[in-house]
Amino acid sequence: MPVALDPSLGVEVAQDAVARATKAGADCAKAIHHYRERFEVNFDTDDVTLVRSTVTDTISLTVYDETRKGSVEISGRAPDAVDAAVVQAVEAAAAGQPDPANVLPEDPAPPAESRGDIQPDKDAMIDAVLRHVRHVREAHPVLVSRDASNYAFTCSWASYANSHGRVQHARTGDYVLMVMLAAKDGPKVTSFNYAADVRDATSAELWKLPIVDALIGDTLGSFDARPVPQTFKGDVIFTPQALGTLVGSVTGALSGMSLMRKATPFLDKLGSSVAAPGFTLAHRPSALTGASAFDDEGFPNHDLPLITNGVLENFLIGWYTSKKLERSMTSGSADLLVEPGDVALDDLIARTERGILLGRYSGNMPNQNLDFSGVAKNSFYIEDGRVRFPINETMVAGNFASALEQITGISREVIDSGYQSYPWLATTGITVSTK
Amino acid sequence: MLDQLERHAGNLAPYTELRLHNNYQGTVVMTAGTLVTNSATTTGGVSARCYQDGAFGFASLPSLSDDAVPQVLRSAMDNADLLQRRSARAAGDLPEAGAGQGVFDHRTGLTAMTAAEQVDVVRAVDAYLRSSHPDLLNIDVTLSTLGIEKGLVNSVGAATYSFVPRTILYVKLSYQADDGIVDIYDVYGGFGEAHDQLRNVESLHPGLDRLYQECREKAAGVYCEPGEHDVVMDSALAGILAHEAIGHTCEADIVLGGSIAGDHVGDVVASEKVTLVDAGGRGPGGEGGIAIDVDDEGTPCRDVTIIEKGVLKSFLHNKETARIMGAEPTGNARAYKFDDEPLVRMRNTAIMPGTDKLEDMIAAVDRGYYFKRPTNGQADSTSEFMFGVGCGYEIVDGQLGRAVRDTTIAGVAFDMLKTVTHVSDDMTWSKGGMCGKKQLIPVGMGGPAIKCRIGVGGR
Repeated sequence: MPVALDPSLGVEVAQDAVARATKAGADCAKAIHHYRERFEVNFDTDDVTLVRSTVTDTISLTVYDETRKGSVEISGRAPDAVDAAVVQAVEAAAAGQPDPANVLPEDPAPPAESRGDIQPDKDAMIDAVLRHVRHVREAHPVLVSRDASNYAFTCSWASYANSHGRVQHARTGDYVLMVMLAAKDGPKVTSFNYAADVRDATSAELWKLPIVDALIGDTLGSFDARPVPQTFKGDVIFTPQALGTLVGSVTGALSGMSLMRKATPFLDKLGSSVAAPGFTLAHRPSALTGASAFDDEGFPNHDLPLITNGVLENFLIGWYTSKKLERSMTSGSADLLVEPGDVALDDLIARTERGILLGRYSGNMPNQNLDFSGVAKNSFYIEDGRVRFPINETMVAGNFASALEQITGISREVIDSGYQSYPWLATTGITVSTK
Repeated sequence: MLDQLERHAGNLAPYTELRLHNNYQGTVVMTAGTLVTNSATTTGGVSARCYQDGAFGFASLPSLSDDAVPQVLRSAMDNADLLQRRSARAAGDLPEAGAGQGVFDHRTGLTAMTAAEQVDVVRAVDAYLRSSHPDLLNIDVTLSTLGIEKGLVNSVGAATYSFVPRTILYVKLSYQADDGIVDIYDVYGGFGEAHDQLRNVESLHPGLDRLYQECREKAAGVYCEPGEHDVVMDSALAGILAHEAIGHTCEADIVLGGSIAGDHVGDVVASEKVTLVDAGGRGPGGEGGIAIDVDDEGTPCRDVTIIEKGVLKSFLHNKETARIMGAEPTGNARAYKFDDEPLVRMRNTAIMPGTDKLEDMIAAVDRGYYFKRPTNGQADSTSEFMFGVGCGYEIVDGQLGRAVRDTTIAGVAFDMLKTVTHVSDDMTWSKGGMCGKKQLIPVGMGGPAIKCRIGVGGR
């Protein structure tokens, strides 16, 4: 396989593409070069099934014809391929639409941080997977999966250059575990469930990672599921995994593109209360292993409060939408964290008269109004403060913006997957329906 | 591409697949009247997958050059060796599956649309909606083109080339209702390149006007009543029903991963009106959403009848699941990008038409819903599936009533399919089916209208 790219070369590749574009007549240009080496061990509950190594090498070139823009991305960096991409991008820009927001940043970019390994410890990764497979097979023989899980190391070099002389570069090395499981005992089958975790080092005992431990426990506890006894409007405790759906939808509604569309329930809510007082949501790359180093204009990723103690403090406005909306840029990335609360998870459950513990939301993509409707998967019925039984054929429906306003408690415990860090969150006013 | 691969075909040992692969994608996005994306992407390279005594090794490089081929073959073999050394296996050979051959180029050869013409299509759709329906809160128009070009040889004689194009025009409308924002979308286009699908933008106007009307009706609409209801699913929903409710549950890797379908071969799992197939080529009727004649392991595709008149018959296999389950490979191994390994995937999956008429099916419902267009969906190992509904109406006394807001329908497939009482005599193929299972991949999904009883989400 090719040796790792010289870290300085990525910037040269990007600068070369920019130079070729301006020589071909572009008024301005930017290029982002990505080079990634990935080593991946695929496995199931019986054995390792595949070892895979891949290399990707891409140049994304955007050229500007006055304020019209066009973009091309290619694999590889052969000079003739770059020249062909330049011609295509120039044609695309000429076909574009004038837009005064199509400008490039001119200031030098503050440096972004590199992190993680450059080369994986392949033996350690395979050892970890073999230990995990053996543990699962011996300790939990009812767990099943086929070719659905993998443990991968990816080293990524990202380099940015534009025709104003702005450059950026960073390398990241991540070990990512993706586990998918169901359980089968004779004719009884549970729903499948999955979890992902990112670290900057190998983990020796994969089954002990908090997100995997929770996945295994919930899956084993999901036999003999049945619908909730009756339809009701009431309490739902979102697990960290299910909370990802809520937070992802809310964050989408806080984006610059949603403001451009004027299609968000938060349009005029800056500085206003949009959630219960204990709720704090932040873009916090400094706390998350899997955060990107910089955005698509070379701005280093930085922390940003979004909703603090229920009050909307910031939208997520990147470079382009800041120009379009004539507002200050806040962040072109979203690496999300919800602050833990002051209630133990056991107490959140104990004070629930009737509700469900929502393990995973399998439903429609929430609309622009943040209405949602879907099936409660990997979930449990709660009555009189106790988890009673696993549920199936049970649906949940409501509105995520309203759910934020009706939060009744947030757990002290969190699960940090490296991609996000979320607690368990209890809210009310959600319709839980049976068939 | 095929000539280049065939030069290396003699060097493939032990069992090896060698693939050259390019994906050509174009994306033009207009949001709130602004052209925010105008891009073209070519992602390509070479990959190899080797198999030795039960150990698979895969490698890829982002290059189509001859020099990259020996490198990628060596890396794939190194990976198989590494796995073999660390995890002793003696699984035996992969089953024989035939050697797929042939050139399957689905380009029409008509003059391609230029970048400017593609932008003009998006502008024209946006401008038409903006002028015809100025009360809309927002309009999003996205033109997405995809051409997948593959050349494949393997060590057992397969040698094939394909180019499969698809064009999707996605239009989403937003409207400010009294109680919040309502949005709705539809997809136009389908199999073929942009010039095959979008030469006459004016022909889209009636559909765009209908979409606007549906948006207004939805804004005045109601939430569904939660619970199980009599439902008529339009033929536009049958494809996602076939895909999510049954198709995934019967992919052999999912069966090996615990799917409940594994225990029910030969059992009645649906009404006898239900016959469900997963087909190669362009599928039944030749109008499926994708084209595939040889899969990415080099196996000639054969049609699979998954359910025949209500009885579960068989599963979808690649070579490895066929080896484990003692079945024949069916040609369902597919990879999306050059650096993806082939997985068991659906192709053109469809419920076959029956004899009923849609209007009679609606008339047969006293109180229930008519669901017209789906959104996203998901399957499960238990066969409890779901998919969203973006456009639908109440049925009261056999007549269509008020529009309904976004909802989700769900059920346990092997229970719900037994409630099917009517299957219409027409058939609709999804224009833009995309499936996510480790890798995204285009799929064909089709079928007739269905009347059944199913769970509906609501407030």
